[in-house]
Amino acid sequence: MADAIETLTRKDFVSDQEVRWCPGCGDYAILAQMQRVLPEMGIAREEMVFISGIGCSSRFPYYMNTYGLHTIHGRAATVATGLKVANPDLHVWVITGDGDSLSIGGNHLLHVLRRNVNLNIILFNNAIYGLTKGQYSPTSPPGTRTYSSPMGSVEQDFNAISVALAAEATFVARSVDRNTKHMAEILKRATEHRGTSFVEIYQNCNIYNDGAWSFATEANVKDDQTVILEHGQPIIFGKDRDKGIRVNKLAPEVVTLGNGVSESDLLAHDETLDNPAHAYLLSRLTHPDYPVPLGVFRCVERPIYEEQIIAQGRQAVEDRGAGDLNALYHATDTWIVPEGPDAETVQEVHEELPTSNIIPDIEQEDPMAPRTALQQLLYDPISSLDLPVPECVSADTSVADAVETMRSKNLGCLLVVNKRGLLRGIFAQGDLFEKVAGRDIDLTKITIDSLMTKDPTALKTSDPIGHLLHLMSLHGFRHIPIVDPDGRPVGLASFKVMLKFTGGLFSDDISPN
Amino acid sequence: MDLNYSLHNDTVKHVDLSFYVEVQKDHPVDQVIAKMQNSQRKCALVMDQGKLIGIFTAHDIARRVIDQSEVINAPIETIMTPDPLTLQSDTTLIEAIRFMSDKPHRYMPVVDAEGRVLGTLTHYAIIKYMSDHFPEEIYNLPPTPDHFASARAGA
Ligand SMILES: Cc1ncc(C[n+]2csc(CCOP(=O)(O)OP(=O)(O)O)c2C)c(N)n1
Ligand code: SF4
Ligand SMILES: [Mg+2]
Repeated sequence: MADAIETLTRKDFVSDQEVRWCPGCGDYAILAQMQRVLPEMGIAREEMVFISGIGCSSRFPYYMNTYGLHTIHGRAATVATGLKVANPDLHVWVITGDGDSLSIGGNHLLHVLRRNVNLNIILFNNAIYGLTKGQYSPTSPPGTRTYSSPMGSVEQDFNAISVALAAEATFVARSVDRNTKHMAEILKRATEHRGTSFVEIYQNCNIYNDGAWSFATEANVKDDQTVILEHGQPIIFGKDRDKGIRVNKLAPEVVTLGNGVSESDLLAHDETLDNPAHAYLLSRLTHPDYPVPLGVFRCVERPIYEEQIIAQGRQAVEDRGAGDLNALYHATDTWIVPEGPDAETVQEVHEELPTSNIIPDIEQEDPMAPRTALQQLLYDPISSLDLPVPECVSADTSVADAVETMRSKNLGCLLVVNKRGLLRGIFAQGDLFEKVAGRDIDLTKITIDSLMTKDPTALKTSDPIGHLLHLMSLHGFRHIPIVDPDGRPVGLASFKVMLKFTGGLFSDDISPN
Repeated sequence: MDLNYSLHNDTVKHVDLSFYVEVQKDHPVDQVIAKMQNSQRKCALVMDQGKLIGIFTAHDIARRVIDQSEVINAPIETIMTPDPLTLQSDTTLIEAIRFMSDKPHRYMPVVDAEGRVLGTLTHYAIIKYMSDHFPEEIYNLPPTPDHFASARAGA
């Protein structure tokens, strides 16, 4: 089929490196969204580079199956700028933390933003130094007690969005690790923007600063304490969408709709305004006095740094010829020091690197205690689900036969196995919908090999049910094959199986469990 | 928040009901499919003068359209499932989950007391709603279950 183009999937972006973040760290959610979004952006893996500084967040490049550089503290933006000037065709991502980019690297952040280098910066803001075990950072609010501020920080904190706007950034946005859908949209917008994209992501460090952003993530408060910015729309928020932001003599105020206040009285969001005052005003909506904005604050166009630099270089060569770097070095004020007595050889000392801490044992549960519904939903092994046995076929089955099998047996998908019975693919109604429906294709002439998802993500019966929910809710996989340790399908998990399981799990007696 | 409590107290209105498109009953099948594909929605609600009269889904495409090229130009009303079951907007989520896990339906239109369509409840939206209760346990997981580290770089 002509349009069966090789497209990348999430798996293509997953590296084989062990992920060394604490269990439950918000960094995982950002990694998952990045790996989900990139395949949709149509960029080749080998054209992507992730460049980071130092910190927990800065370990990100190891986990992406792309090019990557784990550089020096605070200097990711600098290395990235050099790379873009040397090779402007690369898609460059800078991964940094609040310490990395606002303490030691603050200077470098300002300059990459004002230069408008065409790259994307993702600032993982957990308002703490995670890697060095919990010292306060430039985004920790005054009064924050940490190991390095035992009586409470006396420093005014930075507002990362305000800093970026003041540094003349052309794309400035904020999202939060737990709002996965919103984060995916913002990552896509950042990729699409030409110029420096600055994205602050509120990231929970569940070890040293747990709950720092709970106002923006807890289901019962987030709708009242955050506002999703939508270009061209009045700024409305609240669980019942009955509150808004009005501007009164340059000061924002929260108003309730009704009683003479209508939508037309509210501030309408415009991310394209050349004057950054509007975006700056929004950046000053902070917790707890105002709902905190999530979304794109500013998105404007400005010439790109490396394009102009490269053009100037070309122009200079055209006007004055290629030049000779060596000749330039030796032009004036250089001399050769005459050879003296033998220099002392310096003994190099190699110290043993300290090994990292081992994760402390997670609290042991009493094995005899009854499992709560939630424990079952999140941690019980997949083998405790009532899974249907999958229908397995070979890759040379014609699509016509596959359609007939699915119809007669009333199945939503087929698993594709090789001669040894090992899982090789999955063929689902969704593939027919996306790749065949509406096109004039003779289904007897093509095999499912050309349409199936190859090497699909599968789980084992011993994996936790929570991981099924992870794959289903983050990646939208309706069907997930369950395989034995050798890779032979033994069951098929689906949305439906999960719903049935959930329906049975929660009793109608709703006392908290 | 407690999932058990939410499932019993939140209604279908509290989940994302936007995973569908609306089409008119005289739209030809191929146009309906194109609209669904372009918006990546696997469910179309078929309307007649503002009223819901049928439903047409990716499942129907796989079963009734994919190898029957003669139906492609017919109006959607000839191939849709007429008079679809609907859920009232005050149905609690636990009721909806139990209802949908007993029935073959993957998509359930949600209507208010006057019968106006508010959206479509999907399996995916319910799973997403549940997962949103446990970001740390579900979203903050490594790419594969065996990716957990023996040693961590930080704390
Ligand atoms: C030149 C230098 N100074 C200080 C350090 C110690 N150090 C390591 S990570 C870090 C801060 C990291 O904080 P952040 O960027 O917020 O990353 P997180 O771990 O929170 O993701 C510091 C100060 C270092 N590695 N190198
Ligand atoms: S110390 Fe905090 S930021 Fe670092 S990996 Fe652990 S939870 Fe994540
Ligand atoms: Mg930090």
